[in-house]
Amino acid sequence: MTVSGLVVTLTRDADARSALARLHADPRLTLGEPVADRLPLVAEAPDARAGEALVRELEATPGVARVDVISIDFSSEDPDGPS
Amino acid sequence: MDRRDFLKTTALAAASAAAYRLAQGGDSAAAPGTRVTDAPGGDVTWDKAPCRFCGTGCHVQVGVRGGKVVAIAGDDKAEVNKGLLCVKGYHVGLALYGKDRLTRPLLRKNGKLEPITWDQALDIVADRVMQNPAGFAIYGSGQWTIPEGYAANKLIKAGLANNQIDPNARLCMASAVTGFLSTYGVDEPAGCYDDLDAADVIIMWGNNPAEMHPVLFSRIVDRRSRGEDVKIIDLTTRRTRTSGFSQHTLFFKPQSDLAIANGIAHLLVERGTFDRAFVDAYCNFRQRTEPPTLDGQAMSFEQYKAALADYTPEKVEEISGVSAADIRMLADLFGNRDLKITSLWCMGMNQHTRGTAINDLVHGIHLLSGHFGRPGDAPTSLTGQPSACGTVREAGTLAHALPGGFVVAKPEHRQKAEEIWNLPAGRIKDKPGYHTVEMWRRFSKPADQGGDIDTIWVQVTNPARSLPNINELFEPSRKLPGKFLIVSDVYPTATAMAADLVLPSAMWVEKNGMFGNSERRTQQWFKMVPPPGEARDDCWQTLAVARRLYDRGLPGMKDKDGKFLFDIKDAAGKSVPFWEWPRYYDVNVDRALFEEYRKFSRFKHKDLAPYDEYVKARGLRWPVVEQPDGSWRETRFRFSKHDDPYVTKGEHQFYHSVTKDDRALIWFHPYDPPPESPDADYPLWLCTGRVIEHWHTGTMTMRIPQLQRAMPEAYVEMHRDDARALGVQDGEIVIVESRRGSLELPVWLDGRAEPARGSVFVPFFDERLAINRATLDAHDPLSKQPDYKKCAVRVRRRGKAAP
Repeated sequence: MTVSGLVVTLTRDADARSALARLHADPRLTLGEPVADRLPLVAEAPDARAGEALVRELEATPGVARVDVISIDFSSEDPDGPS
Repeated sequence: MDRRDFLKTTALAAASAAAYRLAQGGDSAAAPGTRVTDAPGGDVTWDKAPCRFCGTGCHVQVGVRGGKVVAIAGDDKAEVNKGLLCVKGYHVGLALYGKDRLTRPLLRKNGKLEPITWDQALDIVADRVMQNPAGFAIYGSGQWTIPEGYAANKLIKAGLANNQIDPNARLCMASAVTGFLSTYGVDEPAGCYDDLDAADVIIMWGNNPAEMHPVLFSRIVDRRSRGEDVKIIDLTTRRTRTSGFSQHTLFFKPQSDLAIANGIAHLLVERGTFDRAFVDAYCNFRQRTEPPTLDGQAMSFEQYKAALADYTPEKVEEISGVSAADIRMLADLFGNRDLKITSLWCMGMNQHTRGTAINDLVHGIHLLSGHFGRPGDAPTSLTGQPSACGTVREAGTLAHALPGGFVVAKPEHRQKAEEIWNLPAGRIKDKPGYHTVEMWRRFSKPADQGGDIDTIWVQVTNPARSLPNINELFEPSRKLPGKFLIVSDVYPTATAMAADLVLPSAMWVEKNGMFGNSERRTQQWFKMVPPPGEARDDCWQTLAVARRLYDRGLPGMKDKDGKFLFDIKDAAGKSVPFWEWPRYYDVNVDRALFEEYRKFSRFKHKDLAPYDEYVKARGLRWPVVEQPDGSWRETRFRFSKHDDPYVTKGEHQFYHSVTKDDRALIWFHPYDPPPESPDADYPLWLCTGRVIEHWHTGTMTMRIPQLQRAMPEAYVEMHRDDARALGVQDGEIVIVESRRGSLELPVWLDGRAEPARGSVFVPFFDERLAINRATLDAHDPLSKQPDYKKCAVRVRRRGKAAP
């Protein structure tokens, strides 16, 4: 399981509202308090590869202008360290 | 709180702080909520460190559990990045854990590298020095920590007294150094990153910060997203990610940036829109001499005007390909004093056979137009390595330099260095050592043909892939008897695998360290995790060799009182035998070396604070000056009265002026064609560089699975029309060849960037696909920095003969 802290920047148009609803409904995400058009959230994924895919999926979501990765935890990915 | 909840709490804290900063544009330290490092519970301990990769100098918070780095977060207390990181930055912790870390010293025996003990390894290095001290060189790096570079520099310049030390930073920013020296008389930018928050116009001179310095670039783009009006102008030879954010993307022909700069200056003078009051008060004019020097030759304003007369917009369009209208647009911007303009550059201007000249010209436009010294008005070079400034430029590890901006050629500088190092008079030699290209050329020649360097100790760099023209500069030495290559590194790089002796090194937070970033910011961190196996600190390796040489009686290892050159005492005043590895951390060697080094920093007004001030801070920008209340104040804008405490007269004072009159120099340099241009046999320009996922030769980032997957191999980027003309498809393997070498690469069409018609781009991160077999070792006459950005190549399909 990897846990990452992200900031999603929402677009300033009608798509932003539907994006917010989609993010709220996604069980892999825990949303924080939005600050203007910036939404902090936590993303959980089974492994690093799934985490990367999740970020790409967020980037491709209508209503999402940008995704910044703020923190990444890889402690439980492989007890002997990554390959 | 269970572990999963703890991880989520810390991640959300970091994200919330960053969201606040991004939305408000202010200091995220003021954001409400919990900080990542303050989150309750959990078994992870956090500490600060600057990122290991580029010269931006972002700070990260490093999470450690059970002796391993397990988490990385952007440091919201850091002014540079305010909690943000790029894709390399948030993976930086994984750089430590590639499966093939070097863990034991290795000696080549019968062609194979075999394990030996550290005692044996150190004896071998000492043997090589004792055998021929004059032919022993260290080739270092802008990735050295400051204490590492300082120790190596002292070993060579005070100990062996042969000045044979040069860093890989010669290859990335030496022309920026000579540009600052020839313009202001002292190195490094006057401004800082704060300029990016204040500028109305930001001009990228052959620079792609969206990929190379992404956190800095996001500072600019974030301003736009908050509704601020920031104009971005991309002067480039290929369309890049930066171009996508720019209002104006102006494509120019390679080398013609000199003509563009002259064209802007010509219009400012011709129209009278230059800042006459600024020029009259603070500037002199200069022209080059033959041979060129940093001092040049005085010229009058009328002579300067006459020299520029040829650079009409139409003439510049003819040379550069940038339209006359766009040249006028640029001159209009510089002619408007209501705007604040920042110029940024990096390798595009520095890796250039006229690198010093183009650096001079861009400084000159800013001085001529008075766009200097106000926040947002700045000519600023960026560096590619995390301590190119701190370790190379400030600690003076270039072959001609001494710490603190001193040079070996000046008797008064040598004398002062000998005082600080307590050396007998005359110990430091006045003749500079060999610059990088010359050092490696001589290493690759037999002794009877001028090859007077017989041993090179490489630390923290990978010259087998990063030198230009490696077929000539690197590989011949591997077949020459009597040449001995020592490599200290963390992974089996191409250089390590070609070495005679390999020393396994500790990396980043496996040791104490200090870096100096692009904006004069000195940063510090502590060791957080142990290095693997028998890997040891580079600084220890240097000092342990020095001690062996002292024990063997090499005279240079003693100061004038007969004491060991690197005598370090504990709090009780007793010398510590730190050269014994188990005792190395009995004392903070970094602190001891830094406190000695900072004695050099006052003479050129590069004042450094005591070590412990950096422990408390996320870096401080020099000059850092002690205040009456005992606190230490950093300086954001040098040479300007509003911020620089050393300005004592006027609004601006260039107090290390070349002309000794507190004035900066505005240079005229003509456009000259490059040493090699496309022709009938080699019809394409080759430009090399980096990509966002990888750093330098990829020895760290290619071992981070997420980054390796995102960009798994090098490629040749071609214009679709050139590919069509050659009958080449996207993904097809082609041969890229120059007069110096060739390699096979897959073609990438319509990728993230697009070269101009008639040119190709190849990144250098992939050790398996060494583009520096093809590049040119021609270099700038003053900085000695080679040009990796332009040479002539041809591309052909496999199986098709060369014409």
